Amino acid sequence: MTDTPARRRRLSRRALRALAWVAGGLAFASPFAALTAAPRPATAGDGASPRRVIIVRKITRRIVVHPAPEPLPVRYVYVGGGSSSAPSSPSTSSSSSSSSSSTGSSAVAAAPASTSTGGS
Amino acid sequence: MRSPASASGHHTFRAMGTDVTLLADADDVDGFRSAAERVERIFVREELRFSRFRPESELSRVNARAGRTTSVSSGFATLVAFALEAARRTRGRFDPTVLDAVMAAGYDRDFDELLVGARGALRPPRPCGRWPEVTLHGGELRLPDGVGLDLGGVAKGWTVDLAADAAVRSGPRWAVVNAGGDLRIVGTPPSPGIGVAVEDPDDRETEILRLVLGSGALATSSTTRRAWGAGLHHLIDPSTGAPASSGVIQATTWAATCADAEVASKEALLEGERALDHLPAVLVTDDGCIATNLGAEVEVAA
Repeated sequence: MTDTPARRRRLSRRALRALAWVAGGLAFASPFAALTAAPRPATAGDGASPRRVIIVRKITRRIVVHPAPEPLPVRYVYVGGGSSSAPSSPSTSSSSSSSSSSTGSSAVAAAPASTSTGGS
Repeated sequence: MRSPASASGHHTFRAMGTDVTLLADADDVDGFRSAAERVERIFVREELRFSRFRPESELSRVNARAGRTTSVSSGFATLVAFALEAARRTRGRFDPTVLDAVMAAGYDRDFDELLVGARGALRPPRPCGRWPEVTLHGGELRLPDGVGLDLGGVAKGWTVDLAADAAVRSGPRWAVVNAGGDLRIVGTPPSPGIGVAVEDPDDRETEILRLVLGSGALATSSTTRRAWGAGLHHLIDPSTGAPASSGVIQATTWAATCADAEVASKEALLEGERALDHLPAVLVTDDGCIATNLGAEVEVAA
């Protein structure tokens, strides 16, 4: 006795047509799906978190004190910010840096500025 | 230290293209008010005399008559005599005859107009230095043909001196008149003196140094103020006729009077750091250095 192989089932014509439509649809939609899923490049007005603009401002000054030509009724008090010390001899120098604020530490008691001079 | 502002009054007004402030002892309210009125009147009067932007000013009339002899007021003659003497003393570093060079560099109209971009074409600089040709005999002034006077800064300092003297004659025991950084103390201010902030030339809001001033006057000249472009500013080097570039961008000088301090600040700005050998000053250089020969206030904080 010999076994006869089972006959393979064939899909119906209707099922094949449906399957072809589904495969074609997927092939058509897949590029759009990929584009949709991919991250979008940032644009200026896309409502993302606001960009921070950082301005770094640092003014660096080095004070050099020269010998005074004569005793005068004007003296200086250093107030440019940072650390500084009044010179103990007539020819010294000190370095300091300051922010844009006009206040800062000083080694001496500074008279509050009543007026200012800044050039014309 | 005591704050001198605690017993003082302020009065501010606009004149000579800048803010003018009277700071004075105000214990006598009527005296302070009278001082403020006198100071304002003096500025109005002297601006009308010395403004080069007003065609009706005495200065404009004199400049328009270059090459001819012109009768001038005693106030005008006094300041011209002072300016010519300052030119001699500084060997021409201070030069009252730089008008053509200032205009060639673009400062040919009121500075507020200049800031919004209105100005004529620049002209190549030519050396100045024709002040020895100016003749003044009594009230008769003659400018050489083609030469104009620019007394802007020194006229302001001169006016500050007149106003400060007049202020203390009105009642206050002491007074400071400050016209855009040119200031003078008259009388005896509260000990140890008046605090004066020296502004950073790159940022007016920043104080780089504070001075304690007991008497006399301070004036500051800066290449970063009244500037209208790269390398274009109102401080002319008479030897070249072009805007100065000595490496010093701001000079604050002390002198007994504000007119003298104004002349000294121009001289220091042109001479550079060597000016500290003979002028009491605070100089700011273009490499970020502050150089001074003033002594330090060494009182220690309590």
